[in-house]
Amino acid sequence: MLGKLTKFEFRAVNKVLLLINSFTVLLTLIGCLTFASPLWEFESDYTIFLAMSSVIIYYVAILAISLFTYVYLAVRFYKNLYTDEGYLMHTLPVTPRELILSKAITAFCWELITVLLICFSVCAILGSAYLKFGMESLGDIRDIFNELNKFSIEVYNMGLSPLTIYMIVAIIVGSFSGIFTIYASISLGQLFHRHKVLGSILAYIGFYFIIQIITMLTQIPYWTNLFTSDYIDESMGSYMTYELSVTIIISAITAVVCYIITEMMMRKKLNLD
Amino acid sequence: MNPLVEIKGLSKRYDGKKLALDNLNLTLPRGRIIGLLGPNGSGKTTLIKLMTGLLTPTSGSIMINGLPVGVFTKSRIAYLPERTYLQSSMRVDDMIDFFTEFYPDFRKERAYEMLKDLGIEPSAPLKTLSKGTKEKVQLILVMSRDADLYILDEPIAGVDPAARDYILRTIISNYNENATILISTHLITDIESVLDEVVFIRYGQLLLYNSVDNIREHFGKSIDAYFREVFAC
Repeated sequence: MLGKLTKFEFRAVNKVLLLINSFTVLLTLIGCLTFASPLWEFESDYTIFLAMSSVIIYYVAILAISLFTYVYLAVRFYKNLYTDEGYLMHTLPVTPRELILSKAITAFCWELITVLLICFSVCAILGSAYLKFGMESLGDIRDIFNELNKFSIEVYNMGLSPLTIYMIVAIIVGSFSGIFTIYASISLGQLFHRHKVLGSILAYIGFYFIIQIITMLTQIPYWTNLFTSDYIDESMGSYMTYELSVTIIISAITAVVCYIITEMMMRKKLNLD
Repeated sequence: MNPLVEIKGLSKRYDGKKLALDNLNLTLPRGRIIGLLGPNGSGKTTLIKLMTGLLTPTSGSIMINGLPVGVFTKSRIAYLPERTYLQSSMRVDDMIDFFTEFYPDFRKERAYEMLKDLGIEPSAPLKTLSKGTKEKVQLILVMSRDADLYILDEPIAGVDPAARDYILRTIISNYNENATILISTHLITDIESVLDEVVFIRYGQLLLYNSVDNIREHFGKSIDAYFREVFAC
């Protein structure tokens, strides 16, 4: 049944999310065309102003698109499971686990598509800028990767390839932890009889603070060690690696705990209006 | 063979409030059309939600086909809630596909036939339909299943009298002799003629469970008149 639920979940959200994500593609095209245009050959104060404002508009638009995707998926979860539509969903011959996972898988895929499209967009725009100006000023593209690799070793104590793998794991785990935190908040919000949406928002803020405090606490051993030991590691590398690992572990724990809360609420405390 | 529904010592208390259901015991047989009657707030909808798994009991148990409420019992119950649960982004035929996927006992042809009888266009987007038409669509979806137990919560409240007659005829003609239909309603006069038995509940407790014929014979009154007398304010 998980497959069937996921299929219908995709069918329900695809139209809106395809539309909103196509804006990223549109923005990218506009961005690339702008760089290709002869506009930049006139050097004046206006050109700098234009460049600055385009970057800001691009940034805000991309931010709005990703925010919309997150909010839309959260509203979909709430509406489909905790409003009138819930009367259908919770009486289907499926388990709460299948309901939650079908929504989480769909949300994860769409978040991944959104992130990948944004990465692609940034790369395409930078690429078109490189083609236009880069040949002389930035030099060979291989030099850029060498620089990045050097930076990665300096800051993270590891080469670009292991760092990329680390980052991918962090994004996947982080995405699921984000999704389940929202699901758990919405589910806990149902305990508030009159103000369920407000309750959900309060629960989310609560989760946010708890995660922040735990993250801060995990830094204590590192700093204590740094100040008490005689040997001082001069590079930031060990700290950043430690931070990255801790973030992944905390995200994984958050995802599991929030998933359990969501399922428990659905099994024991379901109470549709 | 197990009784279709066996409810023992069932109680439900909503957080900190008084009991909505208080130690209810009830056994429902197969092959009957049963009215679930009681004034507002008597616990009808709470009982239905517990049977369909939308609520968990505070104490007591519900067995349907000899099994506790869960995935299997849900696959054998066709439930029509008071609320409109259709997703407005879907079309009528999308909902039919949805039901076909999730309920193996769903009869697609029957659904299309009923849509035709009631003049509802299968390609119509649900957001363009009136509230009454949406209720009809929901009823068609529910009655197109070959379930063991149909639970209809206020099935005819929002539809016009002509459709009401069609729906009642559909209910009687569609169900098989092994299935039971439990109808909760305020509109007793309209459905009295189709009922075999009635369950009266008040303050979350079972007041009476008897056959319609027995009540008529014993009290010399119609169910509606008897209801008005028992629940007189």
